Amino acid sequence: MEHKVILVPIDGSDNSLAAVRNAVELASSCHAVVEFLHVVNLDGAFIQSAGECQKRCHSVLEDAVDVGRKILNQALDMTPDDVEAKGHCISGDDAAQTILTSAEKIDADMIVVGSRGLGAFRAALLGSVSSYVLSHACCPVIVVKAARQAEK
Amino acid sequence: MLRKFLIPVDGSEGSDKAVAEAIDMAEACGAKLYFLYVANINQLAINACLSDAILEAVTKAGNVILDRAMEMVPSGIEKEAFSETGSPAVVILDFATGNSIDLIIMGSRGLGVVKGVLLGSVSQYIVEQSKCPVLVVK
Repeated sequence: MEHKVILVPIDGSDNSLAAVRNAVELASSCHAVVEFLHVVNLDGAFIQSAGECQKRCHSVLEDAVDVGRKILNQALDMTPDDVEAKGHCISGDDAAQTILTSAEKIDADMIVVGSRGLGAFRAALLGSVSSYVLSHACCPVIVVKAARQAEK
Repeated sequence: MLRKFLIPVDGSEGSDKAVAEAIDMAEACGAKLYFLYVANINQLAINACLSDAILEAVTKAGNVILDRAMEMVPSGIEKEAFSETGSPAVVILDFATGNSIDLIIMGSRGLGVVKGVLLGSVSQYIVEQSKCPVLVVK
């Protein structure tokens, strides 16, 4: 059987760490390949101007990418040696759409997301990005919760 | 390890797709499949006024759906079918907790009447309330 590809969008939140744990467990038992994705969620206009404007914007972008790399490295550290995994850091002004576009590009067989990420609206049980991905993805989507949130 | 997959079935196209995906995954992971049909009947109604004939008809309809799911599973994959009555979303979550299910696999929408929505009300409730991960199949 061909290796299945599992896309795991992560933002460093507890729920996204739970998604990482679930995805590598699944990948380990199903012999799938894991692709971690961190979307640097910056405003579109900012991204366009960042190339041209002064050092300051550029360093904001660099900082954001640095943070993304740290989150990706954390996920890769959590991945056992028997699972093939890669990390991708992509900037985009619409995290959900960037995730869906990446899923198509890498021909993902499945997406594993946390039930909600770092978004400000804590009361929502399913975050806006997770909800959008769940509704619009062409492939199956697993929604995972961190243990603490699952208790609530 | 992911050993127990719960697939709530209602005979809809979405639930058929969930069964197919669950079989695919169980083949790769070696997990056991738990099929659950929930007859959407209030317990009070059962006690109060439902005739045995109606109850029997509902149970039979559920068994047809469960049998169809069970027949799709190739030999070598462990499987079991369960039939319950009650509010589907609540019964599904209780079953998942009671049986230490590792993953719930379900269609994005079942037989519910509102066709426009992308995620049915039962699927939505389970994604939001479930303690274990939920796989939603399109």
